[in-house]
Amino acid sequence: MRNFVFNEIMKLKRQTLMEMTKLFEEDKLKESLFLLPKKLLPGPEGTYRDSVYHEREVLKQRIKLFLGLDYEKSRNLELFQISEHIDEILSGKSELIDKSKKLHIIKEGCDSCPSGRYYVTDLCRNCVAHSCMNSCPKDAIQFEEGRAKIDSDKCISCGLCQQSCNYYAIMKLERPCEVSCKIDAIEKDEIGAATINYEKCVTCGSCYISCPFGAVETTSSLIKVLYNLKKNSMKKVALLAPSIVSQFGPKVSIGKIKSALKKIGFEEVYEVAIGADMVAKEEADYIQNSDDLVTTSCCPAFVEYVRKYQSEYEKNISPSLSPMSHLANYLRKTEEQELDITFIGPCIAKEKENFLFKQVDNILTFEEIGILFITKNIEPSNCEEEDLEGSYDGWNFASSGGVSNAVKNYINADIKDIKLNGLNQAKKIFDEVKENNYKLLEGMACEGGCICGPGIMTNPRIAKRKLNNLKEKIK
Amino acid sequence: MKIEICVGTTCHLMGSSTLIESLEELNEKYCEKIDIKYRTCFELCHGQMKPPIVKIDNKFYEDINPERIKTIVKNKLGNG
Repeated sequence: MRNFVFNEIMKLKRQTLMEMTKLFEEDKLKESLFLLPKKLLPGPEGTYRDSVYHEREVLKQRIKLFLGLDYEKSRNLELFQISEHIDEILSGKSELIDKSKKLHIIKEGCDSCPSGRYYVTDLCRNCVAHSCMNSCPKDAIQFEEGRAKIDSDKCISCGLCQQSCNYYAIMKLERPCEVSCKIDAIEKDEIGAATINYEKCVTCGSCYISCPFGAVETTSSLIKVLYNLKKNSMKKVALLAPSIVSQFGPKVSIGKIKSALKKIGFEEVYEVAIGADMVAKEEADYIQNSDDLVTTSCCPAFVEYVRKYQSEYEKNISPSLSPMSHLANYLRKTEEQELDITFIGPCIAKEKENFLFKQVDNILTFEEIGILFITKNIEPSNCEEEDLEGSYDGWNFASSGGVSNAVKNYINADIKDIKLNGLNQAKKIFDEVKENNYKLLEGMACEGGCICGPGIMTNPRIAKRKLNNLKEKIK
Repeated sequence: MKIEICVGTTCHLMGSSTLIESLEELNEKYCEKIDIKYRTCFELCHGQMKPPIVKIDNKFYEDINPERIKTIVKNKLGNG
């Protein structure tokens, strides 16, 4: 399960978004956008990096992503140039938008951390054995100033010196983004900065969580949603992912979030748990009428993984839409008015799913609706409590094991199932699937499930506890 | 000692939930001498003070992180 630590990057991102939404609400975004970097980072000293000018450059790129723009397409544009096209951008008509990409690497922010090389630390005691030197097949280790030193020109990164040292004094230098990516989609560009190979990437978001420099960033639809709330005449509907449980702290129940969203301007708020119930029933029927293995289809990063890396199993993916898409599709069919649907969840792969299925109009994360509450001056804990409609099984889709449980509850017979809990296990689980006769494979790209997703705000341990508590509250 | 943590949206987004966890740890250490209360909003985060905001024995503290709150509590309660 993800070890959730609140950090300075989250703070900086949230502060930036908050300033942007404030400007939008005051109708000053167009005229004041170019002033934002200086306002947030007044200098003269850098706050996080050596130079405030470097920091502002990174922030400038981040602001463009937060407006929903593609990094490559907008990289060389100044903020005042962007301002001229702000209406075009927020109504989704700009050519600078590329909905197929959610994750971007801000090259200006990437520290080009060393990777793959070995480094001798202070723990080296200049021992008598000198096993590291003797184990090196390339003569790359010399002793200088009382410590072993690796000549990086000679070193071939075989790691034998590290294995031979009894003091654990030799470290392998690694890039957090590269290590976190379980499908090797992080590569290096010509200047050594990290780059995403979009052919390989499944948008799970692990690089986004892991980069300590905040160089991996996602685009945002938050300002667009605010724009729609103000200008668009369609009926606005919000869909709440089951993992919203506990995201807003101890005083905010799901029922209060529902009424808070209505105060903001969403006319209806639906629980995706209702969509999850529909999907579980549909998948149960499908499994009972199929002789082959069926994999769940609710996690878009998992589905993308199967398509790209286990293509022989693509035919086994459940034909059901995800609970989000299923519910949106249902609402569009049953409601008479034209809908503008906003999905609220912890997931960044949903953007990719929606690029393919186009069932919802906007996708926001929990922190983004938090910023929405602040901007509109609505405190959810002071809002009225509304009832929940989804079943416990539907809500439990948020946690690993929850989807298969819900499906099995609709099937009367015992079926053999297996869980892929986190992409780090993917290869191992598919090897096992090849050897055995499973009926159901539950796939979740984030270890622990959606309550551990890249867009969460609360420690997953607390979310899991809250999710269990729901069992007594709803049937 | 009475500690009131703001868990309103602004403080929550600026990391107040991490304070709850670290205070629970502290409370065990100080044999439950700390009375922790959750508050919604002190109405001080609109420019006056930097969130997260915490009120300890009727005094407000701003821009609190787990380390700072531990230091404040330890200084007030001493080692016992």
